[in-house]
Amino acid sequence: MINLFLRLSLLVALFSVAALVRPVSAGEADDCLRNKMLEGYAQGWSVRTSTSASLKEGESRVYSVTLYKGAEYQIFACADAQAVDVRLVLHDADGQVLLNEDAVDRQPVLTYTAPATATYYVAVHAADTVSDEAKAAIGMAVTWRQSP
Amino acid sequence: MRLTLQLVLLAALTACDAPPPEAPPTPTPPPVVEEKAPVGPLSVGELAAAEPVALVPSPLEMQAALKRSGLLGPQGLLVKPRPLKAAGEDHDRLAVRTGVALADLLLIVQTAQTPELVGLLKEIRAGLVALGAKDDALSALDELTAQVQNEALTRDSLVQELDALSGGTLPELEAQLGPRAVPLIRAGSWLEGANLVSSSIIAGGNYDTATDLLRHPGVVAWFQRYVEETPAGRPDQEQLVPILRESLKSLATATAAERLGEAEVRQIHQSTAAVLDLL
Repeated sequence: MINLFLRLSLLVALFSVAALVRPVSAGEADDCLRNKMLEGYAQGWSVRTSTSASLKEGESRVYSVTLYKGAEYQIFACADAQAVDVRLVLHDADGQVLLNEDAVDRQPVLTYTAPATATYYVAVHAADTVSDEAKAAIGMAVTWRQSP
Repeated sequence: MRLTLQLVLLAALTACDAPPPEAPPTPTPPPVVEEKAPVGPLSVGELAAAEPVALVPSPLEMQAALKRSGLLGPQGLLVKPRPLKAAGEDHDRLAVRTGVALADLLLIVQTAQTPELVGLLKEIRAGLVALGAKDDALSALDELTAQVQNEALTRDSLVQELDALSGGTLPELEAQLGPRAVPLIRAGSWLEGANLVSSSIIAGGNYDTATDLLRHPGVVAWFQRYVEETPAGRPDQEQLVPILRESLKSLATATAAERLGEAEVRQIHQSTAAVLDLL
């Protein structure tokens, strides 16, 4: 069954004021993110939240996230075709790098089991875009599940 | 003199006619390798400017953490029916209350009877209507409520739907509900979850688990920011906001402790209850 509220998210994104100022291709990133969340449900993942940003090459966005000790987290991003390479980096409460997904792709994924309940930080970098002027739409989601 | 001029002219002409000197062979440039910028630590400014959209754990995550700690019985968290007071036009109160109802629904979805679930879905709908939700959001909720009433969904499917509502759709409703409502809905869900988790820890007397379950310093700081931004003097906020402000101050200290013990857990329970009792 197609998830009712993920369909609603698409509808809201299409008609919201925010959608009017997004790049034309933002739908590609949103669709990719939504599909990944739906696929994740089948593997026992639940959604903490999702969000999106529009970034030029070299720009990044940092999100704070509370992680529970012992839970398994999957953090993933989806970018539209304006992006060539998107990087995800997980930092601890002091900003030190814990994990760095540095493959050249538009859909990076980080998986992490937190050693302590605390505030962590996720940085989404638009490492490379199709041109200097291009703005890439990049969605990011945090999902979680009980450790197997 | 004349000879000199002729020689200069000849030299100049010869120079012009001479083939250009051979350029030294240019070495073939090495292939361009795009070097990745090094990934370093975040600065204090970047940490402070981080967006808090993923900061608040969902009630289901709180319940799962409790289960990992061995403090969750087979019935799940014991969500008590909460007689709600009329909220009138106070949007902050409505938003917090809607968040509490959403948390309750998520926490009892596997065990409750259908009428109880429908009652909470209707309460969430009423809250969203009052907060300014548009027809698209409401019609999806109506469709879901009808499916629950007709028992057309398994409870597992319903958990997924509600999880998607809480995690995926709610952030996108900010354009409809305004910038304050979504954080306050999340605050309501967190307050209810933290209250129930602290109750369970107190009931079990197992304070060693408290740090893993309730150490959420960034969450309370985020809620505090919204409450502090509330314009003073609005009569509909006179009751809720001062108590919320005091409770959050106390929660900020308790949830940020390096190691939480009995005193912090009791403080969290008391402060969350103070706000929930106002709803």
